[in-house]
This record gives sequence, C-alpha cells and structure tokens, in this order.
Amino acid sequence: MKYLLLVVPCVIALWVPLFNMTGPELFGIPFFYWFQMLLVPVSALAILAADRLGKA
Amino acid sequence: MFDHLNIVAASVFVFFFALVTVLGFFASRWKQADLDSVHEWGLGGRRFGPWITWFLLGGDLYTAYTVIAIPAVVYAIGAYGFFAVPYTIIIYPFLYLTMPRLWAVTHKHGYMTASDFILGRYGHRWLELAVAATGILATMPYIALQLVGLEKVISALGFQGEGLYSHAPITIAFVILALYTYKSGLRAPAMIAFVKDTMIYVFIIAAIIVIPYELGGFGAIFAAAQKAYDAKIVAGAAATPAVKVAAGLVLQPQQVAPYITLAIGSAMALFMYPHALTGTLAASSGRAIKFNTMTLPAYSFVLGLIALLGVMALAAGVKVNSPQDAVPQLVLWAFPDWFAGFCFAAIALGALVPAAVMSIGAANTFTRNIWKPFIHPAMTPREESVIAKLVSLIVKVGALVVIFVMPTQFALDLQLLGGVWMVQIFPALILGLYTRWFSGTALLVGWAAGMLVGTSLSWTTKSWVPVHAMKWDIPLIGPIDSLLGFTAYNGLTSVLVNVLIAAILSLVIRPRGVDETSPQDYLDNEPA
Repeated sequence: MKYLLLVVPCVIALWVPLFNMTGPELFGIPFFYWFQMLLVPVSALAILAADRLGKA
Repeated sequence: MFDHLNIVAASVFVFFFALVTVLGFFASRWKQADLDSVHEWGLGGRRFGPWITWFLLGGDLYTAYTVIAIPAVVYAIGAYGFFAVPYTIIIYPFLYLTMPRLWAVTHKHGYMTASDFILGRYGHRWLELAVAATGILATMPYIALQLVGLEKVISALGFQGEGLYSHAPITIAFVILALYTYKSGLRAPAMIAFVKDTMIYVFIIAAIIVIPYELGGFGAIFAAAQKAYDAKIVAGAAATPAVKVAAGLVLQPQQVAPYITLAIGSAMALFMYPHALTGTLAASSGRAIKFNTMTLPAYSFVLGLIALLGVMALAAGVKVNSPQDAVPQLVLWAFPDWFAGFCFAAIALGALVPAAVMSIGAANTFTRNIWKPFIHPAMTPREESVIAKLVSLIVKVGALVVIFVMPTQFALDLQLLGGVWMVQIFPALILGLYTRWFSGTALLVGWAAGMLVGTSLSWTTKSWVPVHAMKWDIPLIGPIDSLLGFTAYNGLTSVLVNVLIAAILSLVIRPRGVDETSPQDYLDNEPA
C-alpha cells in the first residue's frame, strides 16, 4: 500500500493521453494545464500518506 | 551605456543585491564552526534542519535559468514546455525512497559526494573518477547558464554596453558571489535562499493575480495564445523551405513520447548533479529529507505557474527576438518600474544561489575525488578546505570565461548534453544503494557506453538535439529499426543501454573491490 501511494501519482503524471485535451476548462484554464498542476499537491499528499503508513 | 537605464527598477535591483551581499558575508558566523574544515565549508556541517533545507534545495533546484527557459519554451511552442510539471511530480516519490538511504550511509562513513560513496561501496578508483568527472563536466555549463539568466534580466533593466563593458554587471555580480562563497561556504547560499525564495513567491503570486486581470482572464489568455500558435504553424508552412511547426495548447501526437521520456530522464538525472546532492546531504537527518519530499512540491506548483507566464506573454503581445526574453519583457509590460526591479532581483538571486551551490558541489567533488586520490593522497583536512575554496573560485571564473568567449548556444548545447551525461551515473549510485550485485568494472563500462550512445544520439549535422527516433543507423552495423515508432529522450535511451551492459558484464566479471559499507548503514534510524 505504501509503495502504491508513491507509484500511482507518477503513473498518472506520465499517462499523457489521460489529460492531453483542452476541456473541461477551469477558470478558463485548459484541462491539460490545471490537471497536471492539481496533481502536484495530490502527489505530495500521497507521499505524506505513504509516510504515515510506513510509521504505523 | 546608462542612457536607457530604468533608474527606478535598477535602484530596487541594486538594493536587493547589496542586501544579499551583506547576508552572504554575515553567513560565515551563522551556526558558527571552523570553516577551515571542508565538512563545515562544503556541507554546512550537516546541520541544516527541515526548513533550512527546504529553502536551500528550493533555491538550488528551481534556478533562474528555469524561470527564464521553461516559460520560453511555452511561449515558443506551448504545451511541450509543461514537461517540467510531470518531471517534478515524479521526482519526489523517488527521493522519498532513495535519498534517506544515501544520507544514512554518507553520514555513517563521512562521505561528502556521490563519488565518495561509489569508492566506499565498490572500492573501484576508476569508477569513482568517472562519476566525479561526469559531475564536474555537467555542472560547468549549468553555472554558465545561470549567467545567461542573470544577463537577460540586467539587459531588461536597460543596461547597454559595448565590447568588454557589456559583461561588466555580471562580472561584478559573480566576483562578489565568488568572494562570499569563498568565505562562508554553503552557509552563504543557504542564507540567501531565504530571501530569494520569498521574493520569487511574491513575484509569482503578484503575476498570477495582476496579469490575468489586465488581460481579461485566463479564458482570454489561452484563446489569444491558441491564435498565436496557429499563426506560427501557418507561418512555418508558408516559409521556404516549409517548416512543420509543432505548437499548440495541447501536445501534438509526435510530442507525446518525447514529453514522457524527457520527464522521466530529467527526473533521473537531477539528483545525480553535485549541487542537488550537496543540498540534500547537508540536511541534518533523513527525516529532514523526507519532510522535504512532501513540501518541495510547493516549488513545483510555482514552476507550473511560471510556465504559464509563457502563454501570458503571448496574450500580452510581447514580441521578442529570443523567446528567453519573453518573461523579462512581460514583467516590464505588466508591472510598475519599482516592482519590475523587484522581480528582476528575484530572478537574479535565483541565479546566484544555484551558482554558489553548484560551484561548492563541483569543488567538493574535485578536491575529494580527483585531487586527493590522484594527485596528493597525503592531503590534510586543512589543505582539503584550501583546495576546495580555490576550486570554487576557479569554477566561477571558468563559467565567466565561457560566457565571454563562447556563443550562448555553446553553453545551451553543453547543458543539454550535461543532462544526458549526468544520468549515466544513476545505475552506479542508485542501484548501489540497494545491491552490491553489480561489479565496479561492469558499471564503468556501462557508464562509458551510456556516455557514447547518449552523445552520438544527440548529434546531428545541424545542431545538438535532446531526442532521437527509436531507430538507429549504427556505424559498422547498419540501420536498425526497433519498430516502436516513437521518439525518445536520449538520456533515457542511453541509460537503458548503460544498465543493460552493466548487468550483462556483471554476470561475467564478479566484483573484486572491498565494500566498506554494511546493510544496516543504509537504514534510516529515526526515532519511531
């Protein structure tokens, strides 16, 4: 589970066909841009979760 | 020379430069210790806690050149420049797993550089030398590029000069930087990083609020950018000879594989650089590093915002000869002079912090892994710090000379190749953290093969290029097509060749050198 939390955000970040499109837009920003930027904090939270699991 | 100088912006700029100069010299008294010891001078005595490390690594990795170059690519061709975002996403899970191990083993054995660890792990002098030389070779052009970033903002201030005078401002800036780095070591960039990072955050937050407001919102910005890319494609097709321009708000089909492989390969290469490792190993604990893998993404988010400056520059109608002028010109267009001076100072400090850490990382490596073992084995710790300080000066002067006498393109090409070369030490360093199965000699041959393959893939008759189709025309063998049908980053292709060769040869050549580390040295023993 710990390793899954670390690997999944990487796989999504590299799975370009998943987000290589303009819609849906957010505040006028195409999907391609806001999705990848959203993934940044999500991946950081995933590392945090993996870290907590590792300690438990 | 000063006729077109923007006095208000230049005054703000000089103020901040003077401020960090004072900080740089003052830093020698911070966490006071004997700076004649290379551990203290070159690694801050490994006493940087989680927050200092956050500022230092953030200031060290997200450089001025990044702030200029990433939006420049977005300005020029759009979505492709955004590869920096997935690149910096995948890097942190990787760091979380590997760097606390590296920190633990280097702490236990007093290693300061990647090559120190390589020598301890494999007991192989020549592999140590190869790793050290690669690091120095790849770092030199990277420092030179920080100077390019610095020069871009100084010219945007309106400074014009002829001949030797044209380089006067960056020479002064670099000499001052060299002096306080010489005196204070890694403490100087660590302290200046607080100022630099804060200023970059203020600059970007202001830009992301003010510029869309002035341009009528993000919808209008992206619509205008789309038009600009379409116009470039039309202009390219109409040119003689016709050029097929790949530009747009999303990736063109032929850009997808380069985008993915460039992100992977760049992520593998980044923490092989001496400056990245210096910043990491200066941390006070494995926990401080783990903390940073969760908090450094804040800078990645900012990097995404910085990339968006490229589309904003298009929408604002900024016209420049070189895309690298897009951000400075956008800043001048969007902000009053005093704040433009602030932003330019932020970018300039973004050049100084990494340049200082890079020169220290290169100096540590040269002193400990080239000078000491090959030229003067009986070196005392004091001599070690004298040499390291001198080398940090020489490295900076070398970068200045490169900028003076070579065209900028030379530094850009070397930087591109630097990434391809740097990733070649990945197998020895990272696999070495987990296993001693590979033999030192096999890794050395793999390294040489990777260097050769990576460099030759990047060479074309017209220019050096980072990517190559997955089909090759090999001398003496002839054309081979992998039938994969895509184009990939040369750093990634060549490091795969490297690992493959190292693995096959390790089956034949068994390791002979002495491994001075033991499995428990790698464990991150933090209090539960």
